Amino acid sequence: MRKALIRKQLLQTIRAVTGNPKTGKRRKTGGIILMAFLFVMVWFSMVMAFFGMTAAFSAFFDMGLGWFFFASMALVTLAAGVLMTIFTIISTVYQAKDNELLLSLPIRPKDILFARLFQVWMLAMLFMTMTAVPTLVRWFMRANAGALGNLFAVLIMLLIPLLSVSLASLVGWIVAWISSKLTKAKNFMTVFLTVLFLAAYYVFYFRINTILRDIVAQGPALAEKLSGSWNPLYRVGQAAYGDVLSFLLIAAICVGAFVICYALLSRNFAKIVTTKKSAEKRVYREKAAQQSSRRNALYRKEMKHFLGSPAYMLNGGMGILFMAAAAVLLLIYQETARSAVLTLDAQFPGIGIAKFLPLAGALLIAFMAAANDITAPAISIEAHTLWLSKSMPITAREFLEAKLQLHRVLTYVPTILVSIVFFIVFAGGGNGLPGLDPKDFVLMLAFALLFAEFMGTFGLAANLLMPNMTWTNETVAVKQSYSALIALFGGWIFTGLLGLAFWLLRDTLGPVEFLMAGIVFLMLLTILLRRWLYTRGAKRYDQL
Amino acid sequence: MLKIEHLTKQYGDKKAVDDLSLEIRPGEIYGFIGHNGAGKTTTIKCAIGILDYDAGDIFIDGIRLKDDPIACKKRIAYIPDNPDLYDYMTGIQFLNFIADVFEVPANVRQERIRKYGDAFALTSDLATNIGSYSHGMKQKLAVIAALIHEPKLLIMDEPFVGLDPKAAFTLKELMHELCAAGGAIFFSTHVLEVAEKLCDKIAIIRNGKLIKSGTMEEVKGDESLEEVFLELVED
Repeated sequence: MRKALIRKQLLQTIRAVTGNPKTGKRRKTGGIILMAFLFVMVWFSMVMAFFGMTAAFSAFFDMGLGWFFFASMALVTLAAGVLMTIFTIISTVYQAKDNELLLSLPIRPKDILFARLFQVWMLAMLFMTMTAVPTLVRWFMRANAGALGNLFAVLIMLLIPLLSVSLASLVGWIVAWISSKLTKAKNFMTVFLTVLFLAAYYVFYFRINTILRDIVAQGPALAEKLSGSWNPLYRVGQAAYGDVLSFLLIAAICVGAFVICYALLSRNFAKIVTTKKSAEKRVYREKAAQQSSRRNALYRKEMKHFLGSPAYMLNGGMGILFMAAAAVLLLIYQETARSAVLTLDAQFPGIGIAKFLPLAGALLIAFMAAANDITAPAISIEAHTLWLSKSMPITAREFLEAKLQLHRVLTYVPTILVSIVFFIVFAGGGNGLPGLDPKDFVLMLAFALLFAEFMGTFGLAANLLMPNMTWTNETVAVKQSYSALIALFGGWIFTGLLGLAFWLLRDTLGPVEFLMAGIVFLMLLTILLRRWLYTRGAKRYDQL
Repeated sequence: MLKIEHLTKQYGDKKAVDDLSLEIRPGEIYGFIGHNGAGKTTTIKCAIGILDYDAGDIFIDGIRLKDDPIACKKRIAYIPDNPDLYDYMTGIQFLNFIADVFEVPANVRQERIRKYGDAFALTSDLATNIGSYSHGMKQKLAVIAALIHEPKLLIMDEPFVGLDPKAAFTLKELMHELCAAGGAIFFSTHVLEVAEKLCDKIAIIRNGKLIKSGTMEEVKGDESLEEVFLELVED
């Protein structure tokens, strides 16, 4: 039975790579080769990045602390394994669509769980080669650990995935438990926690060099504390030098953690996967009804959909977060921002950097506004409920306009906010920096708002041309629609092209004149796109 | 109330509906039966203006659907076989949304929500998110939403699937009520006993073509509807 289940899990994995998620059909050979090529490219770049990390940690060999090098990299491998498998665990074990089907068949729950964990373990092995391969290569090059040591080093790297799968299962269980407990403001909590996680990730990413330097600097002191103890980190290092007892201890920890995890989960597997998340059940109490206009009703529906979907909020409204963060950071670091402009002014004497500020501000805000892709998946996410809009007395124009209105309401406020903060920071000038002219600020704001308007129209047009109406999970429509990708990258490329256009026209048009020309250009483009939307676009909507 | 003239709808080379004509008058309950894939849902979707058609004409209350689809849709309510509703809304938010779109005044909608909510035993659940409704509850909500603007023509695709016996009984009562008030109902079903008891007229479709239509007596004569249907579709 286990063999059949494992075969099913492996087929599912292969299908995920070779199948088209939209049509369910097999990808063309060229597509599979391209996917494989992209995977190898990503894998290789990750291996090289971790190889760089092992180079930084090589200093431990020079200090005679080779064991600490191996222990540190084993820890990195474990952490990477947990991070990379956690989402797979949640989707494969806890949220698998066929859990109920398999549980209804004469199969023991623990066999289902075993097959699922086996699949995750295989993926964990694959992911962890990104850290294990550079670690082992560096180890063989520098450690001189002997045949037994090298063998143990390889075996430990093969055993660590068992530990990472166990820890990821534990974290997945905690996430599932928290998720079932959250009833109020669940969507906002999900968005908040995700943003917090992303912020922490980026802070870590940008400070990685400092962190590595600190580890190398504090390593000897830490290594001294751990030396000779039964601390697993010390024992990992000793095992890699061929210490049999240490190896057996580490192997026992990895295998033991997996056995305990499997035993605990298999007892509760059926209960965990079949317990429905608690929904907030409120008893309806009649209140006086209020009539709204059709336009308001449609707009409110759009807003409810946006606020009701964490995936939509996170992917569609990322630019709003960027703008809010930019406004706060600009206020906090206003002196630094002004100094940076002064430094640039000093480096390019005679140009008068200050006069470029409105254009630079407008393009920066446009860059952030390009990440507001609220309309780009707006048609796709209605795939299953489109019958409602189409069977009601609503014109295509009213339907599309409601989506644009949502985009306006959500993006105009942060655009105005970050523009005003930009003005506050640079309006006063000082230290030889001339203040930002209010007239220029108005131009900058007009450009930024028009860009936001253009992005809304562009995203909606892209989605009408490339809707995804066959999704089974809304996140797929929001994250993986071609229109969403085109709106995001297209918006960024367009911003870049505007900057390039200014560079090419710099002798003909000054920054303020270019800004004015840009406003006219954006206005025309938006009007043309809007006309398409309400004519041909409306016809496309009717045919959906 | 609903007039379908020589309707033809093709998917590629396949004719899903082929030269189909029907007329449903005010006060009539009209049943539409046929095997799976016969073209029932396609006909219904064309009649409510969701699906464009290749040939023929459709009139709702005398208005040509292609000339003024909005005016037609104001007179219709539609309930699909598997109603996917806005899961991110509560039941009451959804009903208010529908009432806003159909411009139902506040006091009128409040009274209707109370009436139909109680009739389908859904009132206490109206503050709950639709996402956590069962299939039957969604079906009931779709029925209430369809009735909230008191349509002249109610078009339903397998309306009794998922409804509990009491809700099914309530729906049948309300169907009679709507027709007594001058409305008309056109619905598809596979439950021939229901069609036989409920419908004034019946149409049988096979491979996109209308093979028989008329009053219940004209269609079935002395036989049961089941016998007639099986004979006709096996011919």
